[in-house]
Amino acid sequence: MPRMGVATCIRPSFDDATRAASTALERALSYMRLKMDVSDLSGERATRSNTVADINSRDPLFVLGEGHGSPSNFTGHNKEIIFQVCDCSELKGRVVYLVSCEAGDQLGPDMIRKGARAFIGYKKPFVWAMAAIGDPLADPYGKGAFEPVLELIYRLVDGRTAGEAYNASMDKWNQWINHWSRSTDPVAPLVLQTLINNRDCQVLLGDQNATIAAPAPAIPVPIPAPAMAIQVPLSMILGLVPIAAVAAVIAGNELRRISF
Amino acid sequence: MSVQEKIARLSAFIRENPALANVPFMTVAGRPVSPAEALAMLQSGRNIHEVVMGLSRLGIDPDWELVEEFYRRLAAARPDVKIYGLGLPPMSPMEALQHIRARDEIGRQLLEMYSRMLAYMRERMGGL
Repeated sequence: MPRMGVATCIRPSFDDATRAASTALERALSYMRLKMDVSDLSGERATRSNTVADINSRDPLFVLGEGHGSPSNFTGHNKEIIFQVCDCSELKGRVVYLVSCEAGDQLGPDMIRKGARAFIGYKKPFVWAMAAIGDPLADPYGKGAFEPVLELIYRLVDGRTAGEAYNASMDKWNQWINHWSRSTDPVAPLVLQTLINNRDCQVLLGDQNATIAAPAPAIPVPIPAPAMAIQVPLSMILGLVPIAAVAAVIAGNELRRISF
Repeated sequence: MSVQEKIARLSAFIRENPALANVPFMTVAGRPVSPAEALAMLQSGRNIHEVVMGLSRLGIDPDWELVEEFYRRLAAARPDVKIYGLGLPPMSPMEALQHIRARDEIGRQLLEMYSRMLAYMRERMGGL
């Protein structure tokens, strides 16, 4: 039986789009690690064999992934197929969230038919705009496309049901859509298209009452911005013997609910 | 609804949604027009029938001309911005425009995205 509080994360980063999505999900991972046992299959480790091995050995209740997708499949490193229609039975009993194009169209329903407890994903392309390649959460046009994604993950990690997390995410989409509707930035109509598209195509299938962790209050700690992380000796922070170095963020820190 | 009421609603929409004021949203006299242009037509008594008909059908029929005009304007204003997707290739506005002109699969997906925005505009206008 899948284990509560255990998660597998699949994060390929081999092209501009997956690098951006992987960077954005790094924040979610930082939060997840505070409360859950997380395995991070990032970069070249985002393969089908690694995913199946991790699921079989750790039996996670939550499987989170970003990667290129189509109506019938979800892919990892170099577009290697990780899950596809008729070949996703290892997800039985689990809660799955795939930040990917179109997997909510056929793959998600098939996962539910094969016994997945809940599936969250997108029926059409998951899209965003950016002024420059990099961390979308640090980009004025990209931020609104990933905050709703993070909100959904944070709520699940806080022990909320899939339905509650989904609704919190929809609220965040609507907040960003309202924000950009009032903007006079010439790129605003494009950003609006991406936000409206992602909101309207986000689906929750299966058990709306599914949870992945025991209920716990949200932790309003700074979530590291990966692109701006630097190495700082622990002694500089704690005044102790330098037994390790920790990643710290000297700029760009944000409380995770600071935007809206 | 009278033309005066339509003018009032369209004015309120533009005031509350400046981002969408200059987005091509209907075709009048054979050319794409924006809410701001449609409002000016109603206020000056030009093309009233076509504008009223266009408002009533807003977002119902996908229109390649509108999305093409949108990306043509965006490519001129902000050629540097890029569109990313987890299933789509990264695109500049000009590359998006080329897909739309080619009426290919990516162009069709961009048209669908645009249609969703028009449906949102229709909803925000409160049924004109």
